Parts: sequence; C-alpha cells; structure tokens
Amino acid sequence: MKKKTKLLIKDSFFSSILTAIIVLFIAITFVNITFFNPFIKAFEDFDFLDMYYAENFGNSDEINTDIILVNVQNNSRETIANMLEEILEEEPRVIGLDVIFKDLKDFYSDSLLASVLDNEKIITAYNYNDEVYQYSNPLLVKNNIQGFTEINFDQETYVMRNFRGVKTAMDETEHFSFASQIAKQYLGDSYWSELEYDKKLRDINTIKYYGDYDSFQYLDSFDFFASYDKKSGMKDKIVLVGFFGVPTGNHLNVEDMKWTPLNNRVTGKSLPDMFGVVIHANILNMIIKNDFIYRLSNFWLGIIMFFCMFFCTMYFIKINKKYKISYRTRKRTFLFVFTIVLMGLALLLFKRGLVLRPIPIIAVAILAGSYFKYYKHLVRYIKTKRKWKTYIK
Amino acid sequence: MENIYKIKILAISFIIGCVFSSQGQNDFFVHFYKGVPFIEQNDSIKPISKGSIIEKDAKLVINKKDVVHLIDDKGEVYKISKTGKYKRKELKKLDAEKNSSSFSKSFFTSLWKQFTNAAASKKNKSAVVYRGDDILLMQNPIDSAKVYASEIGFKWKAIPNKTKDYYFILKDIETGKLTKFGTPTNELSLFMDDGMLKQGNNYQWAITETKYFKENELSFYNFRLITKSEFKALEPNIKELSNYLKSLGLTQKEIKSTISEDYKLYY
Repeated sequence: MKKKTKLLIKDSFFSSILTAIIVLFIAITFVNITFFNPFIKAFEDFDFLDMYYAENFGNSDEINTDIILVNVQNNSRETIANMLEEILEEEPRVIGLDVIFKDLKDFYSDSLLASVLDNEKIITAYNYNDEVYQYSNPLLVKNNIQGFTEINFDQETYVMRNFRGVKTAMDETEHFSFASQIAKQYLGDSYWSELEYDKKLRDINTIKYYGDYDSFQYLDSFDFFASYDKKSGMKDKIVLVGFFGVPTGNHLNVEDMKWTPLNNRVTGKSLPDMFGVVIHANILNMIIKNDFIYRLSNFWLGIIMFFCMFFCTMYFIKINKKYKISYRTRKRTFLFVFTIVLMGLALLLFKRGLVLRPIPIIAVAILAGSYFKYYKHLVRYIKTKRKWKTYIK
Repeated sequence: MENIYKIKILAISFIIGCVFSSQGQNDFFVHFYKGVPFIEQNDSIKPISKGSIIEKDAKLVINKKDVVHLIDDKGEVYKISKTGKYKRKELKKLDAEKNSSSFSKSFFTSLWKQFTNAAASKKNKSAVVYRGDDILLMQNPIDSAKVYASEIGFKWKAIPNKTKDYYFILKDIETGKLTKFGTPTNELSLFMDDGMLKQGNNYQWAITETKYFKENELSFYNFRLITKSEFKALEPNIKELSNYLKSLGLTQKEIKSTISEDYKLYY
C-alpha cells in the first residue's frame, strides 16, 4: 500500500472518531434540552420507511384470501348474532370478534348473542391498558379465548408501525394479543411452539402491512344477508368480525381508526387511515405466514454508520486536497447521489424484509463532510506541538 | 411388458394429474361488482353479491355498464367488464391483473414527483359540509332492498306542520326515466303493472320538498323488484329463517318486519 493511502486511511479514521464524538454529544444534547422539544416532537412520528407503503412500492394486486373481514357496521346485537351464526355455518377455522359488548342491553338480543358467542371457535377481544382491563359482559362472553386489542403499548408514537404479541402483566400473568390468540388457534399449539412464537412475539416486531381492508376479502352486513349463497369459501379460513366504516371503508368514521405507514401523508397532519380490525388482520397475516420483518440491531446500525462515515470522510479529504475550487460542488453532488442510493437501498431491503433506517446514516455522512475541517484544525494544532504525519496539507 | 407397465403408470399419473388439477382449479368469488350482473344456473338466475361463488355449472352474465372483479383461491384478481355470458371454463382463460410496475421504476417516479412537487395536493380546502336532507325522510323500503310483491308501500317521515306537497321521485335505472308524484301525505302505494314497475328491474326512489329539484343533488334509495325465480331461490332460506324466528316466539308480523329490516327483503 502506498504511503499516501496509508496516511489517508489514518486521517479518515481519526476524523471519523472525532465526528462520532461530536455526533454523540449533539445527540445527548438534543435529548436533554427541553428547548428543542417542539423540534423533536415534529419528527418523532416520522419514519422514512413509511414511504414504502405511502408510495405503494410493495403494491400487489392480489387479494388476501386467508383472512376474511366482515364489517358489523352499526348493526344491532341481534343482527351481529345472526351474522355470527351464518359465519359459523360456513365452518371457518377461527372467528375473531373485535367488538366489546361492555353492558347488557335487552334480554332478547343479549340472549341471542350470548347463545351464539358460546362457541370455542369465536375469539373475543378485551381492552388492556395501563393494567386496566375492559372485558365484554361476562353474561355474554363466557368461556371464549380472549386477546388484548392494544397494538404496541407505545404511548409516545401514534403511527402503528410495531406490535407486541405477548405481554406479561404486573401480576406476572401472561396476556396474548387478539391477533396472537387467533393465530395460535389457527396454527395449533404444536406448530406455534415450533415457531417459538411465545418468545418471538414477546419482542416488539415491525408490522408488515399487506394492505387496507380492500386488500382482503371483505363483506359487510348487507353483502352477507343480501344473498343466501355460501360465502367466499369461508371453510377453514379466519374470519375477522369488526367495524370498518358505514358504508364500508368510510374514512370519515374515525371510531377505532389509527394512523399507519399506509397514510398517504408521510409528514404533517392528516386523518387516521386504517380501522383497528384491519390492523389486526395485517398482524395476523404475518404471524400465520411467519412473514416477519427483521430489524437491524443498533449495534449493526452503529457499525454501518461508522463505515459510511469513514469512507465518506476519506472521499472528502481526498477531493478537498485535489480540487480546491470545485470541492464544495463535488461534495454536495456526492451527498445527493449517496442519499438517493441509500434511500433506494433502504426501501429495497424493506421490501426484502429488513429494516435499515437510512436517516442516521445519511446524517453521519453529511456531518462527516462538515466536521472533518475540525479534524483539519486539530491536526494543524498538533503539528505545532509535535511531529504528526498526515495526508492533509 | 415393461413398456405396457410404463404406459400404465403414465396413464394413471395423467389421470391423477387431471383429477387433481381440476380439483385444484380455482373457485371464483365475487370481490366487487358494479351494475346488475347476475348468475345463470340451471334455468334460474340470481343476482350476484359480494362473496358469491361462481359454481361449476353457472354462467356469469355481464350486461352493459356492469363490472365484476373476481378472485380465485390464490387471491389473483380478474376484472371483467365486457358484455357477455361467461362459463367457468372461459373465466379460467382470463388473465389475472398483474402489477407490472418494477421497484426501480416506482422509486424514481416517486422521486421525480417529490422534486417537481407534483405530489402536493392541488385541491382547494373548502370549509363546508354538504347535506342531502331529503335522505333523512325516506323510511320504507330501506336502501338496497329487494321486493317481491304486487304492491309496494313507500313511506317517509312526515315533517311537522308541513302544508305543502311532498314530491315522490321514482327512477328506472335501466332506462333512466324519472317519474314524479306530488302528495300531501307521507305514504304512497304503487302497483306492479308491467309498465312503470316491472319485475327484474332496478329502481331508485327519493322524496323531495320541491318540484324543481336537481337530480344530481338528490339522495336516492335503491330497490330491485326480484323475479319469481330469484324469489324461489331465496324461499328455502326465508322459510328456515322464519321458522327460527317463530321458535323464538315472534309473531308472523314481527317475523316479516325483521326480515324486511335486517335482511332488506320485502315480500
């Protein structure tokens, strides 16, 4: 290796270390200075990878036929009971009912509902938040398996990017999410254990969205009763019964609607875009197909950041020495191309099932270009004190 | 001898293959439809609904302006809008919709939109709501109802202290013909006469307070006058449902009203 190259590598390495220290200092300062809170708040719900869904990069024309959604709309308990009975006749493997019937209403409709709900195929939902439980009335839901409906217990973030499948409560009892309970019932205990879901779903996992309600087979109550045909081959499928608008999909019915990465506004204010039951369907789809997205650990992200910083610094030091006049133009062009390539790569990796957050990497590349001049001054200062071999003039 | 044995094996494999491939042949389910397409099966016809299965001996009938999206077991979507009668065999020959857009193409298109600011919404943001107050008046038959009767009783909410006429609008969807009646009461009965009301046709109705209305500003309720064969297809289920409701202690009148309200069927 040439002596010059060796010096360039040495300078790039030390400059990267210095930049890393400065970045770390800025990061800590940002976290701790209250003054910057509005700035942090503005960006805390932003994730570049939301673009993947918002811009339809993973768009598929296929309709999911494993999970069938049924919209209860604003129907009475009596109608819901009839719908459930019709569904049960089609012999699906599992039915998930994403509706909580907190109070009793009237004897007639309540008794109808209670008699239909008394079926082991029906999994019901309960609300579990801050160690407070909200179940359906025990006279209506008796022996059914139940699952909590919270998506991820993250109170700071409003966009549903992650989910938690299993949670241990303060009293050491284990709670399974609504989607987990349905998947467990659908897959069977042995396959569930084979996939080690008890452990895997305890962690926070990234939701792999299949799509909104219209990416699934769906029926509303009218479709259901308008014809007495057998419906959509429900046999052995999962049927999720919940509310997704009147008429179906009406995004102005914000009851039980959440923000998801599918929202076509990646930043700024917008209406929530997906009904809770559809989020459960998306989670369920990835659990039953064992189709998870893997998150790159912070350790590996740190390593990648350092290497990017190192190579960028090397390039900047080199062009800084070689092109005095056009240095800034070249640096900016390089950063522009680097940003686009990295964004494309991150989206492609996301499509392949790996989460690589590009923003921190782009940030360190930009900072590497800005902060290596501090290293330059530092080297000049050291040279006044002692002999120091360097690539930089 | 060995050759005969090989031929036998090949023939059996072929037959098994054929059987399995025919069994594995996809079922077609209706995922979306527009207009009034229907299914013809054994000399009877029935309207399609979301989730209906196109069975082996059934034909899907697509008329003018009808659109049907079918999906198969794999979830592939088949969009049909061409007029005609489609047997299952013909449906299998159709090409499924494929998303041909590659990742790189989508990425650079999106990037270009961002650079040129083409992604920004150019819509004006008006702060106003639209109310079709007439929709609140209509009561019976409810929206998207199916009717099999020689007489249809239309009923709408009465506005207190109203002295002027209500205007009842009936629209034949097939011909687009509008008929208007003025009446001071909140009820009107129309009879099946093979003229204005015909079995097998789809209609819309609305109530307005002005005789000079704009059609596109009216909110209509839809209903279909089902044919005898359509009703016959539904009859066993109606009987089953009636028996069930009867066993719950409902009177004949209550049973009829439950079926009308919950299942949108008037007979």
